[in-house]
Amino acid sequence: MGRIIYVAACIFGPLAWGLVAYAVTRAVERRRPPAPPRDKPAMPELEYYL
Amino acid sequence: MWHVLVGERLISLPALALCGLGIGVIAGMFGIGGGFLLTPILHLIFKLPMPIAVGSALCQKIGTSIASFLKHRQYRHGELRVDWIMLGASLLGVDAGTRLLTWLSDAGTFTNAAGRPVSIVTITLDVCYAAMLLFAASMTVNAVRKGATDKRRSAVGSRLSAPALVRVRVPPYVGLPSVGIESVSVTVMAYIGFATGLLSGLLGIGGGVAMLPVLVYGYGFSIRDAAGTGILLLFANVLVGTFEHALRGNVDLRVALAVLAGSSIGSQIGARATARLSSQTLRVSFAALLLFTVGAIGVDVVRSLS
Repeated sequence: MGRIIYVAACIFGPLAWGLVAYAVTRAVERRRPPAPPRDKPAMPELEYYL
Repeated sequence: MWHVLVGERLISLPALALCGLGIGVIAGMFGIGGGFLLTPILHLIFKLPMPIAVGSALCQKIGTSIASFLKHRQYRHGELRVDWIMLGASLLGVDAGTRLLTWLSDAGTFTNAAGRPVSIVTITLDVCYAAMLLFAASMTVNAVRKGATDKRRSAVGSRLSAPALVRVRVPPYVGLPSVGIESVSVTVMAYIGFATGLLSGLLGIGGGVAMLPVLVYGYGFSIRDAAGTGILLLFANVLVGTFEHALRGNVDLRVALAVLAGSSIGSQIGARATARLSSQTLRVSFAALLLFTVGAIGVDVVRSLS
């Protein structure tokens, strides 16, 4: 039974989180509209790292 | 003094540091974390049990991923909103991946054609690795063939036909102002986060090797924005993943520290070496490296099954 509940949480959890993230993002946007993108400082070629 | 007992095997720390150095050079050259190489190497060459290889590989990435995150924030690369949308689902995925790994470890062995026992967790993870690396290699080969450039990708916002995942319309939607994308599906992005977390917990990778193609080819991010976008998420993944694996006794700090010592130096060497190579040469070499790793894993699978 516990495993079934866990699998259900894995299926619906991301959807629930997506809705929470959406609501928070919208609320933040309403309080503070996004600023236009600024110029980014130059970075040496391929000096990024995942 | 220079050897440690991990599982039932005596492992040389200098050899681990040397391996870390090599992975660091590759990681620095190609702009990736190298996690997709580390776990197979720890398992195939150093013969560490798969769960310990996964846990220790995740642990050594805590240091490298926080350094990368700070660097990308300094250059203002990426879109933090993506990290936020994926975060909760991704952490759920890490937990699911760790549980799945434990479950596979407990599943034990099966007998191959020659009557020898074969570990279910090893075979399953080898197949997952091979599939994921083939996916990344095919994306890279495709990009090499098309001769796509960063510049063209960064101009994606002005293109008439949007990239594949931007076209998926499952509400609700948000905009990604930092990378010039008007609206993307929050739901789709959350499930991608879950998949990234699952891979991280199961395979011991940061997730960059899977996330980068999704952001670049699926959403049309420039490579630099994609690299800067995943970092916070990957840091959270490796932190939570390490914690979960540590609770299950899968993290060996000595292994993680030895590899980290080598990879810190190697990544600096690799980043400098990059300046001497063209972008196209790097892409071809990266695809060749991925295919070589797939080949090594394939040989291991065939050897186990025969």
